[in-house]
Amino acid sequence: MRAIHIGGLLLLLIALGVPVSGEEPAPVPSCGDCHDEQFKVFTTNPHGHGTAVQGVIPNAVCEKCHGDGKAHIEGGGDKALIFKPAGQEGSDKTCLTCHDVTTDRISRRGGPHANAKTVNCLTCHSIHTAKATPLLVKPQLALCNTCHSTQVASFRNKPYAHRLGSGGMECSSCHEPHGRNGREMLRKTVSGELPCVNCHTQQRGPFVFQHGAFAIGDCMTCHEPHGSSNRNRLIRSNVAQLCLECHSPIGGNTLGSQPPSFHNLSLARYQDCTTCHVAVHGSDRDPQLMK
Amino acid sequence: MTIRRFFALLLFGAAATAQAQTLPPFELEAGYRWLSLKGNSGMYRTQINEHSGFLIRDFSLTTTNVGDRLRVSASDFGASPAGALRIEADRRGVYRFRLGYRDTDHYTIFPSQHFYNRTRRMLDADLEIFPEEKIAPFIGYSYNRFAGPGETTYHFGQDEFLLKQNQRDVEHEIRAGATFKFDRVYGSFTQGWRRLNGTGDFSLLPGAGAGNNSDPILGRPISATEITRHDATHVRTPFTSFYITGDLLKRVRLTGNYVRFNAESKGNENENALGSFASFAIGRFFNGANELSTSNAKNTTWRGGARAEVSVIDGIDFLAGYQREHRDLDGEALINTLYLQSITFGGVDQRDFQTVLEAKSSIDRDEDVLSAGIAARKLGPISFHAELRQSKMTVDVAPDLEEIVVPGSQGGSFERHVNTFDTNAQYTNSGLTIGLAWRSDHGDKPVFRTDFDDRDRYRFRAQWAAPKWVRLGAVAERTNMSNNDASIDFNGHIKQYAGDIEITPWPILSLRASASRFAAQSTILIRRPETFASNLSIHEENGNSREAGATLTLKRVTLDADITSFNNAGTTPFQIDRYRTRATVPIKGRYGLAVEYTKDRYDENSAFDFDATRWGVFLRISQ
Repeated sequence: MRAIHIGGLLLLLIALGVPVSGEEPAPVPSCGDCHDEQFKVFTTNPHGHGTAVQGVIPNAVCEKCHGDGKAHIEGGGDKALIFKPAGQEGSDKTCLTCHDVTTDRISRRGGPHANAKTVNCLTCHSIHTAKATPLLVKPQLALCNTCHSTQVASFRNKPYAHRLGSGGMECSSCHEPHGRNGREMLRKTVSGELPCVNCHTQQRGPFVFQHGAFAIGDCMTCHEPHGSSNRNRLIRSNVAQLCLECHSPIGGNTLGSQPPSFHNLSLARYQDCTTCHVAVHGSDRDPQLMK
Repeated sequence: MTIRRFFALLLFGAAATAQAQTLPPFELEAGYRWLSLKGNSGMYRTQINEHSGFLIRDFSLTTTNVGDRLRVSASDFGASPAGALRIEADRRGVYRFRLGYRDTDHYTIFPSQHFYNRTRRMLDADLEIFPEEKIAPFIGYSYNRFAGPGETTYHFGQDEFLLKQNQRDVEHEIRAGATFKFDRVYGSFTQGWRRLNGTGDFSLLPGAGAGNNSDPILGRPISATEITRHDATHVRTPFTSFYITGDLLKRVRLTGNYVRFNAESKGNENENALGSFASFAIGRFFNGANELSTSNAKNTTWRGGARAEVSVIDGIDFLAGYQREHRDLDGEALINTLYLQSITFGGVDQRDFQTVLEAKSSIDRDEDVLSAGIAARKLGPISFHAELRQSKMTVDVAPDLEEIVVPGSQGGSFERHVNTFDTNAQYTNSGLTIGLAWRSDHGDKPVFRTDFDDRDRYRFRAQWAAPKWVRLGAVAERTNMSNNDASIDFNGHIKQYAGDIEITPWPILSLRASASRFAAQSTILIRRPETFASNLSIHEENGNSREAGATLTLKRVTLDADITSFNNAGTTPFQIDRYRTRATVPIKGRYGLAVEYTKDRYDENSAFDFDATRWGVFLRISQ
């Protein structure tokens, strides 16, 4: 019975971390002793905050991504004796051990930015030297410009474009970088609509008389969000030209081709259809969307 | 004082008066910007809208004294068309809080007498409790207000009148739910409620009573002495969204999703007009009108589906999915119009004349999308993705009789199928990356005239960054689309080419340059309304862009400069030149200085051209 009591006490002491021998353990060097800069930043880093003990990040936090650091420490900081995550392999062994998440909106396996050698987590994210949130290697516009230069150029080169890079609007306001291909890469609202109505709530409707182009298509049937030559960011520079592409009664049986427009387009007042058809997104009381 | 200016002054005041010992580490850049504008101020405000005044360029503060972490960041508050504030607060395992605020000016001038000058304010706040537990509840709130004055034309009594307008739309959204994670099964459930209240007030602008049309209608001049209108709209939208993901046997991952919302709108409007008007609908002249209308509209939309990701071997996945979306829109309106002192076009039967219009409309739309593909991400230096998608859309449109001006093509049932093949491949080795992508869509019967039969998108990208001091990039994209139906004859092409180079010969100097070309052309057969003749409508954009920049980082001074020039020789020709320079220099201790020079020149060879120069001097405080 006595042996059981002593064994139980020993187990309790071990569990409480009390040194049985009474000797102080040799102090373990902290990663921060050498990596001072990374250490300072890491206390407020999403991966590090809340882990500090008396203001010091435990080595175990670093070792989650860098592996066991004992040999590296004993080797006097030998870089060959520590794992430095980089590229696809680095993403696989570190980021995706926690972030390999698939939801209704994102996929780490099937999207255009799924972890591959060309594009992987560490292509866009930097854990220790991020220049923008969320842990991005560059401010977002510059980062996306690395591959999508034609789209980014459109915001500078077209006179009417969303203001990116200032005031909180970024590429990811509308795009889900971890999304699937095509339209699945848009950051839809929580109720599943296109991201446009996150801001432009007043165009959501519903209206008694819906504009078919919006009700059956979507905002991009008529609008070009990346920058346009038209003040309303339409896909054509002239309003009448865009409208008449659908509203032209020539054969066929397509929606909106009737009724025929009978306005004289040579007169300036008829060249902008929305001068009169002001409620072009939809109206509650006028079938012709004029009020 | 706007909220944006209030925040700006608050942040600046706190930072400027703070003692080094009392505040956690922060960085602040704030100062004054001057604007010198030549040319059309309306067009400048439509495109850029940066004005003179106090400005907080940037602010960030991070502390571990509150929770585990509190981060506050703000940018462009003050004399800027768009400002943002963000607060993040966390305590590991207990809560995660995010708040974002955005304030944006919207100014738009149109040659067609329309303009508006409105502000949008958006707030989003989300709190997640016990974020690392198996079930983590969350609540959220969003606010979106879009309000301000404007001017619009209003078609009434066979003329257009210029009205001043005051619009105010306010939306509130609250949402609550939980994320859950049990071993290999995780997901999220959200229930939300959205409420939009919108009001609009309109009145005839002084001096606008003659209307835009100076010609009499059937010999009678049309004019207005009064037009007032008030409308109010209330929309209630409950919504539900849900997804669940589960891993089976480590190699199969299944995801199911469902989202539904049911928007119900109620509106009422009243309008009064006095003057001399005509109506072809009732075949009468009249001297005034009172109109009351009430309306109800509904939009029920749901979307659901399932996806599977099957990991055949490490790095090779088969992907399959099915999504179905249903949307139905119904509306009805009762519009009661009393025409005052009306008389027939022939000049007889003088009396007040009342019409009651009861309108109903409905649109049903279903879309099914089936997809299957393969993603190979670990074939040495190569990765590729290929996917087949098949979508089927069915649409039923039942327009109200009031909408039908001439019989045919204003409603009916439509069915359209689109088959898509989407593939891309990348090669990466020794600093060289080459990417190719091709997407091909083939559709059958168009719903709208602009729906394609065939659409092909090609994309090529190359990048070379072997030595660390140079990066070369090139992108080429082309999209072709067409509909060969003889009554539509639609052809569209978009071509974009870009090349860029970045050189860093020494760590202190970085040089960059790029050139790009954008060309778009679309043609489609249209009926010219004034002659009813068939014509080919041609839209063209033909633009060239050149950009160059440099960053010099010396011990005490950082200099950054960019020049951009773009000319478009398309349907609406224009030239844009932009110059931007910024220098930062430390002064003493935690203080520094930033100086900015920005110039934007817009030239479309019209009265809308402008030349805007901004100078900014900013104090930088860093703790």
